[in-house]
Amino acid sequence: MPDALSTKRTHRLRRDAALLLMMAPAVAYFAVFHYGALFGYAIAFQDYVPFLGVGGSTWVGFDNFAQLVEDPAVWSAVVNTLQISGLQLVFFFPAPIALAIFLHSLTYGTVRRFVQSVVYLPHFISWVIVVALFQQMLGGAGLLNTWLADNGWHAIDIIGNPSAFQPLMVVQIIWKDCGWGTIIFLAALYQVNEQLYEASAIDGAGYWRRLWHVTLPGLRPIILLLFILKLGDILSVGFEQMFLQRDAFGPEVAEVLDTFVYYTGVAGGDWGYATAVGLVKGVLGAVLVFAANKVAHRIGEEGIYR
Amino acid sequence: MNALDRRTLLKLAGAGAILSAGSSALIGCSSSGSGTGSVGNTGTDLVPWPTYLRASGPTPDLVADGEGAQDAYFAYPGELTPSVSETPGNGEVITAMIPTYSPPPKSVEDNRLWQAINEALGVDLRLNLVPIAEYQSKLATLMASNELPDIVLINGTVPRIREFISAKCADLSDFIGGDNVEEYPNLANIPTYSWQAVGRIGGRLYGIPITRGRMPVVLHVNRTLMDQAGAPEEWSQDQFFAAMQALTGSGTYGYGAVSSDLGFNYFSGSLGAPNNWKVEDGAFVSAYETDEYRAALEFAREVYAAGCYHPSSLTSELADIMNVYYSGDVASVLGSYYNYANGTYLDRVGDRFATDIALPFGDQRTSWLGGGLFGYTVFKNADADRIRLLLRVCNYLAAPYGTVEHELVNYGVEGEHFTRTADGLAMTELAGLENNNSVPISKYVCDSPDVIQVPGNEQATRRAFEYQSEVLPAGLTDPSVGLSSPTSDRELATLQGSMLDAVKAIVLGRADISTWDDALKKWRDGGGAAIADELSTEYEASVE
Repeated sequence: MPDALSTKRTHRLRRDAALLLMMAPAVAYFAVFHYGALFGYAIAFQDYVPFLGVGGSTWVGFDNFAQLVEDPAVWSAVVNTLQISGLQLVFFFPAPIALAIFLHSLTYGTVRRFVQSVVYLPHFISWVIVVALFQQMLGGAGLLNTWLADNGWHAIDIIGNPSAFQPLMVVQIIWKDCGWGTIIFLAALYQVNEQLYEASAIDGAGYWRRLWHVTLPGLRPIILLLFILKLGDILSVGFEQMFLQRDAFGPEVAEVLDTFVYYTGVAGGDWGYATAVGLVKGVLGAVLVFAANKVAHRIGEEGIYR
Repeated sequence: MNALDRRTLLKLAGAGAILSAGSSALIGCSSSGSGTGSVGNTGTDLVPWPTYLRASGPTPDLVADGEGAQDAYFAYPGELTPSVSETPGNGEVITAMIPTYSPPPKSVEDNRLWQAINEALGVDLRLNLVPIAEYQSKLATLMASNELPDIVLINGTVPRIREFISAKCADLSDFIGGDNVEEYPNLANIPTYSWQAVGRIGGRLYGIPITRGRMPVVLHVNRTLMDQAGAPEEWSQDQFFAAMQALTGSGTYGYGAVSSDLGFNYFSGSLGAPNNWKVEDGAFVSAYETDEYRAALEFAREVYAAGCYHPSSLTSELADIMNVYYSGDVASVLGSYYNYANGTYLDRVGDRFATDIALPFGDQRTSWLGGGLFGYTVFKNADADRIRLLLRVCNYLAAPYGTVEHELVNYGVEGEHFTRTADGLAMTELAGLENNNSVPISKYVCDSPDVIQVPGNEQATRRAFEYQSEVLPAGLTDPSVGLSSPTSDRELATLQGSMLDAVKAIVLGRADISTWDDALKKWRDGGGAAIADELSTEYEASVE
């Protein structure tokens, strides 16, 4: 019954015309800037020379990927990235949840708004400034060490000390982005049904029990959603933050995949190889997201999509 | 949705930069790719270097002797001569991408200096001023974009730059090769060693040098503190170390450097390592391979371990560590000789202490001479008339010291940026904002040969000149400057980066000195050995 089918289609098209029209800019945006740009990955299979373009550069098949497997610098960057990512997952990921619960528990509106504004603020400070601030405070000639020296104590070696690098990176990102990260959790907290708190309080639940049995289950879907997305991002730990501090701490600890790609591609001119590394990183990230989403479904959660 | 936004941003900043470059190349890919071909000069017909015709100018007070040396003047000339008879342009728009060491200037509409230069040149010169720290990345992305400005300054080690230039930039050989340069007398006044430092590509000429003297990067010292510590002007390695240690303590430090190289060249030069390369029986040997370089690594490591480096050396760019120097908290910093010889550093230090320039230490010392240029400018491919226009503009900007044109493009307009006094030029407040640092047209589009002159300070002028006379004759040049090597063009930026990382790790005590052998092996296998071979071949071909 092709006629009936096409009538149905026309009918639906007419019905949804306004919605489709509203969708169009977003679809165009993704088509051009995301899916279109994907063709750029062609250069991962080339000895790419920028001024000759994809058409003029030589195709080298999987050479760049073979090189990647054998390059110790890539693996060192992978290890550094995973270590920092792991620390971020353990310390930075839960921080906004805790802060959001704290903010939510503040009953006095003015105080809450004030605290919220203060903790949001660092998010708007660029990494250049944040890094400079930390250097001014903790550097060898910084505030802390000058004060220690004035009081006859030994200096603490932080800036430039490779073993301090990873903890410092986590502290910096918590300082900068923890407050901003609370927004989404606060929104979720306001969604939790007040009656549940009242009911559990009447049943004799104290603060911690209410937190465990009401608040956290209410937050669970959003925590899981963000956690899955974070897994997809496990190989990206923040280009600017690392780039700005690579010289001070040395590439042995501060070279992560993003900076490796920059130094190899933009600075070193080996665009094809750098893109190959970027591509592998992207594919691994996508695989992790799909896998985590599957696991979420297994344990009965929504995940990021069905 | 903070996490999401940040994520998107980071992707853009990191790998996405590569990706977008790829896609823009896809979209804007030109079909004019003429192939990378050979950029070497071996077996090509070599276009002669532009003939050197020294411009007549005011008589110097101290006359330079030797290649790369500069004349000194005690006072600014009272009478100026014109060097360009016609306005170069006729209202054309010219775009240029050049670096800057200063904060962005006011736009041309509100900038009297810029307006005056445009008026004198007869063109509408539009600048893309890029902070020097980002310049090389910007060049790399410019090469990928296919949208060139008319004039681009090239400096530093840029991957595949020679291939890029031969594919996309104007061949200037027929305009300035040999005697043809006489049509542009101020360009003919650029010394031959600067042209040679640009080098040829496939036997042809493409770049105009931003000429400099050959004086090296030198150690600027706080002489007041050095005297207190009993450090002599000619110092041995031990005396240098003793001074550094004596000057370190209670918030002050002996040695200051930029984070990118930790001032390491002062150590390697002092201990007698070659200037990047040396030629032994026609074969190129990298400085990295020498015992002197290794000795320098050990010594710099010792100096760092003794706490003599200012802690900011780990995080500073030049402007940052110089500010520490001006404040007196660090007693020595490696920096440009010319910032002493033109009075910049004396000016900034003021009467806080006596700033001076120090010799390298030790009896094996060598001074690594500069290549004779800051960088070079190339032009976008265009018809012959357009190229001639750009050359006339550069000719104007290269007007030598003591000419009307030089005064305008460097000091501005009389009455607005300076007034004339018996002692020379007195700068106005406006010149503090509008000068050849903030609007560096006369520095980085094209430049004239420098002179030594510390305004109003004959003693410092003499000191700078004497230092030049002492260091230049014994200085070492880098034999690879201006030579072409395909492997170098592709790999040198990355290789140098890893070697510098290895140097820093050793000096800072993060890695053992024995790791230097691994680094050397990586250097050789990664292209260092091939570069040495190619340079040797090119060197033979270039000897005329």
